[in-house]
Formats: sequence, C-alpha cells, structure tokens
Amino acid sequence: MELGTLKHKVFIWTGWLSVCTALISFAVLNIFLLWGYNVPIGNNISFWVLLTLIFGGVAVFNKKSRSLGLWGLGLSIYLGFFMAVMFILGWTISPFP
Amino acid sequence: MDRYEELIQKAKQDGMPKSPDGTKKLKRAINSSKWKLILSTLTILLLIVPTCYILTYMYYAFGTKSTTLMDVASKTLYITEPNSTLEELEFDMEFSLFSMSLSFEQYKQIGDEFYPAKNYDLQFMLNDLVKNEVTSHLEKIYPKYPTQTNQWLAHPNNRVEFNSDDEWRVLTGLPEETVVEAYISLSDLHQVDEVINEMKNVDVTWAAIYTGTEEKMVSDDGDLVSPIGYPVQSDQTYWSPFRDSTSHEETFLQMLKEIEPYEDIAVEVSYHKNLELAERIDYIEKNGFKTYGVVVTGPKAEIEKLKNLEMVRYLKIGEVKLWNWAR
Repeated sequence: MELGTLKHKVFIWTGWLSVCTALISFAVLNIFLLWGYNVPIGNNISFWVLLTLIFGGVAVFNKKSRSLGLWGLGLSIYLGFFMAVMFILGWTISPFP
Repeated sequence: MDRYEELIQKAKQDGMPKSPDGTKKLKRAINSSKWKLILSTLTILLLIVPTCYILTYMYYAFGTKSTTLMDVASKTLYITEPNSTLEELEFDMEFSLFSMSLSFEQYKQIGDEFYPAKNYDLQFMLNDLVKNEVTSHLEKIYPKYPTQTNQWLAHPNNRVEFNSDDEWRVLTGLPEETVVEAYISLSDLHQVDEVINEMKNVDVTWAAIYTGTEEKMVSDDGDLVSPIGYPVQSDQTYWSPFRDSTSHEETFLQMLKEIEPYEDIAVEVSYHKNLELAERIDYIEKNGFKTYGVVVTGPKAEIEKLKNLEMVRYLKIGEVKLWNWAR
C-alpha cells in the first residue's frame, strides 16, 4: 500500500473514531439524564471528550477527513457547553448545596 | 444512422468497461455515505435530550424561577396551614425534562418540640403543578376544605360543626403528663398581642386573621374561602420568611402580596378552594390585623385553664403528645 493512501486511511479512521467517541459520550449522557443510571464507561466522561478532541483535532488536518473531524469536534464542544450550562444554571436554579 | 449514433449503439452493446478499482471505490463511497447517514441520524437523536435539559434549566433560571415556585409553595403553607413550619434542609429539588419536583417535610409545634406533620411531594411541569402528593403523619387531620360548616377556627358570628363541650371534656380526661395542640375560636375580634398577653402559660403558635370574608367564609365574588393567618412565635430557622421579622403582621401582608401574582399555583398547593388574595389584602390594608382564632400549644392543664378566659369561645383539640414541656 502506498504511503499516501495509508496516510489518508489513518486520517479518515481518526475522523470516524472522533465521531464514534463523541456519540458514545452523548449516549452515556442520555442514559444518565433519562434514567439516572451511571453507566460504568460514563464514570469518566471527560476522558471521552478528551479522546474526541484529540481524534477530531488530528482529523481536521486532512482535507478528506476534515468533515468527520469537525463533526467530532462540534459534538465535543456542544458537550462542553452543555456541562458548563448545567453547572452555572444549576447553581442559579437550585439554592441548595 | 450517422457515425455518432453507431458509436453510441456499439458502446451500449459492449457495455462500459468494468475496472475492479472503480467498483471498489463506488462500494466504499456507498458504504461511507450509509454510515454517515446512520451516524448523523444518531447524532440528532442523541442531541434532543441534552438540548431539552438546557432549555429546562434556562426556563427555571430566566422564566418562572424554580426558587419562586419553591417560595410560593412554602409561603402558601405558612399562611394556610395552622401551626406549621418548614425546614430548609428537608427540601429536595430535582429537575427532569421540562419539569421540576419538590419534596419537603412540614413540622408542627406540639408542646415544646417540633414533630413531622406532613410530607409534600410536588411536581411542576414548567410552572403548572401536575402532582401534589401529601403524606400525613398526623392523628387529627385539619379539614381539607375548611368551609362554613366544618371549620376548626370560627369567626364570632359563625358556628362550628363539632361539639366544643365534648372537646373540653376530652381535654379534661387527658393525662396530666401530656402536651396539647388546641384550636381556639375567640368570642370577638382581637389584636394578636392581646391574645398572647391573655394566654401567658401556653405558646400561641398561629393566628387566623380576619380578612372581611370570614363571617360567611365567602368572598365578594361568592367563592368559598378558608382561614388564613400567620405563625406568631419567633422563628429563627434560616429558611423561614419570619426569621428576623420585626413585625410578623407586616411579613404576613408582604407574603400575601408576593404570592398574589402566583395565586393559581398557591391554590393548587394549598387545600383551599380559593384564596381571593386581592380582596383580602385590600381589606387588611384598610382595616388592620385582627384575629378571630388562634392555635395554641402547651401542657394539658394550662390549656384547660383557658376555658375561664372570656375571649375563648370554642376549643378543638389537635395533636396530643407525651410531656416535653421543659420550662
């Protein structure tokens, strides 16, 4: 296999991985929000967000995998926004510690 | 048939030359599109719940505030439930999709101690109360809809359905080592301070305030109303609206004004059918605060002595507990 093709493949797979890890984070979040279960892999959601950011960050450097990378990055940014909103508004709406 | 058409015909017959690399690329592209479609659908589905949560939090932070709903619920109970108080740490607030649940414990002073009276479990769908479950720990339940005929605290022009003489007899029969909560209807309208001065050896815990509707328990619009009043004893609970209050009467009036914009919610939270706050606030502002009935608590023997007071008209016994009077 040519080096260029292999490089493309690696970037594309990194892009797909960033989307998949972001979706796993969201799936875990949905399960927690809807049913209140703390899924074992969800104990460290920041790890998954970090993984998504790394994969997404790598994927945006290649033209062919850029859309996948942006997709993953977008999801992890939204997740970060969600967590920030929950934390800040949580203090506002609930007067108890 | 010209040359061009011949060429087209030939090409159709021969078919397009199939390169193995092209088929592979096509398959890969189809596969990739298929997965992109699946994952984008999944993305949209997974974004729905978190987005709804953000909207819910925003509603309770900037729309009808969660703290406002909680204040309305707690203040309503202070003015509609005689002799009751709430503990801050007993509040439990949870949020789910477009809803908020609030549960808390209500206490009653019987003798010198506070006992759990009721457990409230309220669920708001945005600002609409959709569930109001109350679990009572009381032996004597204050009437659900206190009206003209079944009220425990009656205006001097009103009669009560229960036999007050029987209640006095029951009180006499109670052991000396008990403390009693009693609902006392007065023979005339009095200032709350006058009543406290007359009933020195017991705690006056709650006073029902005359708001111009209590002779018939009907508002100007013909709606049934129930007694409202305020806690008389000083309350240092951090949560209480009466904490550090210099005048409980003024705090009571202020609470009525604060609840008024949310009267529908207040009516749903309370057992009352109507509150008619505008009319009652107007009456109090013009005529001041006078009470026609109070809730007292203290040693059985001291409650018994109240029978000799001229201002006492009817008595209804509430909760009875073993001696805890440490004064």
